[in-house]
Amino acid sequence: MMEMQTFKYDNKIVKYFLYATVFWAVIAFLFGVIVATLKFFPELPDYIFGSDDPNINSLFGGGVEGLASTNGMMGFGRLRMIHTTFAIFAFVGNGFFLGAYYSMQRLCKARMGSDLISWVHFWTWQLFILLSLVTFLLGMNTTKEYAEHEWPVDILIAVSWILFGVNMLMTLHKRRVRHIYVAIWFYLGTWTAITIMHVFNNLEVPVTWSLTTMKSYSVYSGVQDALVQWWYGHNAVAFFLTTPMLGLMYYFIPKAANRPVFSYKLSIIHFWSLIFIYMWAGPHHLLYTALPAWIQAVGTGFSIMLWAPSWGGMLNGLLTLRGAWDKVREDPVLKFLAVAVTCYGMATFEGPMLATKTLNKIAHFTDWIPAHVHVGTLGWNGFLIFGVIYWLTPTLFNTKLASRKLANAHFWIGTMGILFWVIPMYVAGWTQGLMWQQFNEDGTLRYGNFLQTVTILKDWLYPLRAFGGTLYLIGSCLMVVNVWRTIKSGHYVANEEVQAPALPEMSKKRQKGETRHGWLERMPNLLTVLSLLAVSIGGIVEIVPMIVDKSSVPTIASVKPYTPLELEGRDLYIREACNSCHTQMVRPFRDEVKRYGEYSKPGEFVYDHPFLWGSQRSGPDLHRQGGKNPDAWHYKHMWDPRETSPGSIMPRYPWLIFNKLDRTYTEDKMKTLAIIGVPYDEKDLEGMTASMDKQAKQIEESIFASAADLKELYAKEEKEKGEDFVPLRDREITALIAYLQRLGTDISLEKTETTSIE
Amino acid sequence: MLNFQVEGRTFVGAMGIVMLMIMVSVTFAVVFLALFILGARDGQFDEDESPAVRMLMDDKKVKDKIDT
Repeated sequence: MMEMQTFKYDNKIVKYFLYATVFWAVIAFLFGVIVATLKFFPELPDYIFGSDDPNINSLFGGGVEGLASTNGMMGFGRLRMIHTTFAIFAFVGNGFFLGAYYSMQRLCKARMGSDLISWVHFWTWQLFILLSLVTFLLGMNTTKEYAEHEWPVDILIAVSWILFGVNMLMTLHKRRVRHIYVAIWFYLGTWTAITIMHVFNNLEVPVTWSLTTMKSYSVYSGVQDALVQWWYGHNAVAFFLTTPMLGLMYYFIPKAANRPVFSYKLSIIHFWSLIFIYMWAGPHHLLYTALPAWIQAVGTGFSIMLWAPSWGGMLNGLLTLRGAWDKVREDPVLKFLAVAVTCYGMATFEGPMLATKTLNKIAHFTDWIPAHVHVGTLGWNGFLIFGVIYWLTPTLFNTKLASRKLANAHFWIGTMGILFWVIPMYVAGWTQGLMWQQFNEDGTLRYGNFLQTVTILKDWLYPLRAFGGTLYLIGSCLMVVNVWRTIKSGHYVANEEVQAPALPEMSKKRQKGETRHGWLERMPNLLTVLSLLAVSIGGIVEIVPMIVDKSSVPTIASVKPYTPLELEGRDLYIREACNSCHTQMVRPFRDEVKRYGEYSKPGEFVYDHPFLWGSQRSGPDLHRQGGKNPDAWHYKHMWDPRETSPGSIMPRYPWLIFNKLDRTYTEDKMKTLAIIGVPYDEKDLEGMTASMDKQAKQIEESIFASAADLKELYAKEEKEKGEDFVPLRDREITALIAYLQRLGTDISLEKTETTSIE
Repeated sequence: MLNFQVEGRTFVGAMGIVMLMIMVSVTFAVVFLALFILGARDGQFDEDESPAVRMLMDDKKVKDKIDT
């Protein structure tokens, strides 16, 4: 008879993650509704903060200065990254930790490795989310999707995440069950992959070490940056939104249905095949871009291979409910879980299809992609976590769910929310993607004005999406009430005392075996840490010399680094996250070349730290923007886009016109970029101020020459303000115009030669 | 622009980063292959029926005491 051991599960940490998940769910959905609203109602901030339009009665009654004083806090780009960070890292992240901290302990029959680490992990994670909110509102971001966090936040994420992994490994080490249940394998795979991805995608050089003006540049540029970003971006979906959820699926569906998983063997095959295939599919995000074609083909190939394990796993989850469908009809938990797994099946069926060039041509840069993603996030991630919450709350509080009716209402409202969200967006994606490609018989574009392909979406489809999001949000509020009432009616045990037999020290095999082998087997967790450390250190050691070595930069002779003023303008473009709606990547299609100009070449982006190719066109591509519109047009367009382009859904940017350009860090920025390979030399640094003044003066003159009204306006303002007057040439707008007018102009002078690869 | 050196050959541009990514991805795959082999030798995958049933069983609670 083995010795029985008594120990305690840590339920307090699980409870805290439950609260965090529920809280951030509501906040994440709320931000989602706000950004969805901004897409068809761009005047929303004007209505709140102020406008000079007499038709707009703003909430605070102020003029356009009110809007300008927000400095872009309600800008679409900034709110969008808050929404994605909250949805991914705050809602799904905390939801994953909730399920993992609960199930890990039960599956291992052991308390979590270290209470201290559990709590440090919990609070650092919440701190990271709060810091993301603050920095994003202030415009501090790196633009790289789902990794927009600036360097200090990146470090915090890494620390928190690594602590979580260490805690899991410590738990595994003291487990009382020899067999590692498949869910835990999924947790470990998640952790390892995300650690690697996070580190490699966020290698960035800070401009200053100041924490109040966080600013860094990605060590990679152009094509390289794009590849690393979408390697990360794809794996954020694969390893943050999929594998952890699969782990939860394999624990909570059997638990909730009280029957074993359909095939345990299949679950193991599911795990190992995903682990070996998932990481190679990233390039499907960059089809038809300036990326070598064979890399695109490899990405497509692996994406199609993913069909097998994804559907194997999906069926395994659904078939677990075989013979329990009568329960599914009654039990809201099982309803949520069944729809979640179905959505996983739909999203993973669609994903490989979108990774084929045929469909990608139509879908890429349109609303088809958000529709696809939201089947996964709202359906698969959201509903799975709701199911877990509805099962775990009564279990944790030793009671029954307060209201089954309310949970069923949540289920139906949420399901309607998903349908109202995704169906209009599929229609929007097809509409826009097909409209872009239409030609007239005489060879001109049918919809030559890009705006036509947006206004058609704005009247019905975008409002319907916001309606769907609102339904989903309302559903989650019902959940808050239900969880609250359940907690009130129950009691929880912070440290749940249980008994389990101790794990025998040695297995049969090892008793006669050599020591080193035995040691290795008993320490698979230590082995993981060591090998991961080795990988990370190895990776960094390899990368540092590459950063410093700038000997062979593949260039197109005419492509030059940005001037200091353009560089500042580019950083404004980054601050306002213009790349959320504008791409800088003309694909080699007849319609795109016709619409925008010569297709984009890899060599054109060599000085782009970070790359700004974007992933969606709610506005037109800007890569060939330089020289297309006069400076004065840009000025007026930023002041009020609807003045120059009636019906536009772009927000106003009046603060760019009021603000003085901050040149404090221009020199540091150039020096930083010089470290990572942009050829700025001593002469450029010495002539920096003169160069900026000269270029700004030219833009000011060009604006005044073509817009007499502005010239008058500024003359008047100068008289009124006297000493305090900031001339137009010293304002932010001038730098932004300098950048926009530079875009894509480097190669139009001569016939292009594509980049040289040794 | 980074470049990348493997056995004296220099890869630049997209190829440079592809070499890096392949190395990282292969290392990841190798680590998990090693874990798989260790797991298999440890007998982790020998039994494919009982783990699915065993996880359903509830823990033996010592007592259901209320605190906080």
